[in-house]
Amino acid sequence: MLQLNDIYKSYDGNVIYSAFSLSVREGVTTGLLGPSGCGKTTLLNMIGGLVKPEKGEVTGVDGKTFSYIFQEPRLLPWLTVRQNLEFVFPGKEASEKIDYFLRLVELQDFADYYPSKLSGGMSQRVSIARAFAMPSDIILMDEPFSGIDVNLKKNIVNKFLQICESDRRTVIYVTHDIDEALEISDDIFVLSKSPVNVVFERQDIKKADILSLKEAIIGSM
Amino acid sequence: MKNSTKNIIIIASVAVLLTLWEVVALCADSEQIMPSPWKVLVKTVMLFGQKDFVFVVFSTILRGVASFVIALLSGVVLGVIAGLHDGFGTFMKPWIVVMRSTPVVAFVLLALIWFSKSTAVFIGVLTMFPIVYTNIVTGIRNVDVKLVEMARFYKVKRKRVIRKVYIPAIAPFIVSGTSTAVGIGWRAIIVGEVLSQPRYGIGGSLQLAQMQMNIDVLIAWTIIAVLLGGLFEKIIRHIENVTIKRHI
Repeated sequence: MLQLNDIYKSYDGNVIYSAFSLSVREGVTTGLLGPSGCGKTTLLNMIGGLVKPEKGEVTGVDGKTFSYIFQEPRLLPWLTVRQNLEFVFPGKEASEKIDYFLRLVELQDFADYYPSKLSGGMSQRVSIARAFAMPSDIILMDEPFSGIDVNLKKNIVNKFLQICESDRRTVIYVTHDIDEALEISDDIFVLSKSPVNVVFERQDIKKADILSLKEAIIGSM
Repeated sequence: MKNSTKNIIIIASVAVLLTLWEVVALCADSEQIMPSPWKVLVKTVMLFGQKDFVFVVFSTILRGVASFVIALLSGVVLGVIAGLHDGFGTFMKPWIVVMRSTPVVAFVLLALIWFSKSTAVFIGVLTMFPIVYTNIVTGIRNVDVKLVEMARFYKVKRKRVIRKVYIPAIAPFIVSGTSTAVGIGWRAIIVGEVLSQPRYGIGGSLQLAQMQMNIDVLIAWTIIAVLLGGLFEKIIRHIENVTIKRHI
């Protein structure tokens, strides 16, 4: 279990998190749903250790390794698709894994392409392959499907679910899109605006009635 | 514009320049004031045959290479430190302003007292260093912080981050800085040679020709200096193209 206990964090005098606590199950995809600008990225960064909370602690992350799917693909423009994956995951044993995940995101034929030759959706698929090729324990995702064309998004989300199915890992994911969160997540937390609080939570949502769940989420916001 | 059209325009431009030169030479009617282009061309070819021509040219090239290497190494090292640490960048600022705004000739006159024969190298370094340094600092500050953050998050080793993120990102800045520096530095080195009068050197030969009123020799050496300067810039531009193409 990954836990945030009594977290306190402020930016420029504005309190974003005050006595905030959250428990995340391992081996499932947890969606953190909240309005834009409420501090979801800060939450991910605190879990990943990029940002330190002023008070409180994050437990269950010691010795764990992370992958991060950012809002934008963050690929090195001077490296090919394959080299971008090798940059974070070098070594001989990486090669097969990289091939496997490039096949999963259907980019095996684009391994030698530079990012400038790829579309936005293809680049984001590279970023997903990079996160999964890395043998990390926890994958953090910061609105990875926002800003992608609707049809393409469907395709990428399907690929993502397919990968999750074949390679179960702890995925913590933030978004402001309710439908997307319901489609992707196993567990869901709805967050309020700052100071952030959990206003709704539910586990195993794939077994739940999606329509009534959606109504409950909207009602809580 | 097509390349062939560009070439025709360039040839026409050179032809007009040579014609104007010829007209001025005819009007001056004195080889002591303005020799004809043809006479200068013959003199230039004759210079190639002189026994100390190779020494003269290579001495200047050697001074150019020495000052370029010193300026490049110090510019890269100090530029990287200044780019990564704001405090050091601020510390360096007044030094760079002094180097950039002091007239070259003032440095030459001081260097003549301090270094005598090494004046040209000193001047070359002082002229090229701030250009290389400023380009490196700009390059480092332009490195995408999001890429560095991504690398940090994936716990990529520092050495690898420098090799795969920082160096490719600043490479175009290094090359464009060096190509500008070479153009300006080459001219400054020849000015340094004119005043410091080393035994061999294009600048020294220019000064000697001027003192002996051999205007054709003076222009011939100038043409050689221009051709060499152009050649160096072309080499640097070629490296620039190869580097940038490889990285984009």
